[in-house]
Amino acid sequence: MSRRFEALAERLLRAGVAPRHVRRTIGELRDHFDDLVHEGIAGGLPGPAAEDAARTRIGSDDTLAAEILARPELRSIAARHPLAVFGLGPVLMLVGFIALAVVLEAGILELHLAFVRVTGTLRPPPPEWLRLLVATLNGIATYGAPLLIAGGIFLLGVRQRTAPAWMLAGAAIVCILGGFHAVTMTWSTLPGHSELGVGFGLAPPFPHNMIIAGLWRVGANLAVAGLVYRLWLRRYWLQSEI
Amino acid sequence: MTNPNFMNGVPELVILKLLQSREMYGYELVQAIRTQTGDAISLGEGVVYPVLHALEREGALKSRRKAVNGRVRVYYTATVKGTKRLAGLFAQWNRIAGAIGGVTTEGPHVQAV
Repeated sequence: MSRRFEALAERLLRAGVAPRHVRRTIGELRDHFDDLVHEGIAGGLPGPAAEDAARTRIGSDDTLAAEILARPELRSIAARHPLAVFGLGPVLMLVGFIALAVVLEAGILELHLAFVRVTGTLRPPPPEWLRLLVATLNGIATYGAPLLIAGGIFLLGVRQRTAPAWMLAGAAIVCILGGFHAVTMTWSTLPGHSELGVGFGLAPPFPHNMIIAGLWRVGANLAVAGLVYRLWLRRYWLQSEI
Repeated sequence: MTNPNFMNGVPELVILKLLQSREMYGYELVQAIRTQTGDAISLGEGVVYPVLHALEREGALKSRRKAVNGRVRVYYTATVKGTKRLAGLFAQWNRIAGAIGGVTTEGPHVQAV
């Protein structure tokens, strides 16, 4: 694929233009450039001269960048509202992730209960596969969610060339808050009496055990997220140098 | 034409007017602008794209990808909202053109004593 206009693309991304607009603009500029070169060659110009003429007619990177950056509506939401995206966003995503897991697990449990009632195959305790499925979902919602969201923040930030401070702040927020919550299941031998619960160590009554465990988890979350960030940056820089 | 106050809305007006009659892709649109204005408006041709994208974002234009001779091109056309916007831009332009015309053809109304 042509690398023409790549410097302009990088400049626009760094200025906060949404990646989809950058991709589209660069694609159309490349097509336009090709059309101008064909026009020049058809008009009798040799190839290199036709390319020079095409580049002049398209406009300099400075002109194009100035025109695009003069339109704030083409900038990404993250560039326009970084505090909302990297400050509030991780909190909402964590809450959404937990809520989704709870709704999913509740749905699975209700479906299973309805199935065994209809078929009359109800036998306490709950089957092993159901316990394993719920435990896996709980594990993802409790331990995996903060890291997945931090990864999502890095992905978004790197794609949009966001300032590292915003990415790190967003990841830190979700790593810290995500260390103190837990989605748990208490199984009962009585059908329909098992309990699905969500706990948060930083809310009353501030359970001591959750706070202590939470501090360890925060440390682990930050270490893993920091390592991923370093590896990601290293990979990005290596790719940029090629 | 570099005065931004006078140029405000002019690229939008020209683009919407041309795309009102038929759909065009970027290169085709620029050639139409050059032809129809007798090269009076000659900007860097690439600057047409941010204008097109901004107009599409506000709903004044719609686009579709179409394969022509093995190449996929993005064709733009004006929407109903774009037609309304064009009418507003025309009215604004006519006011400015009328005012300037009045000054240049009639001269000052008050003569110095």
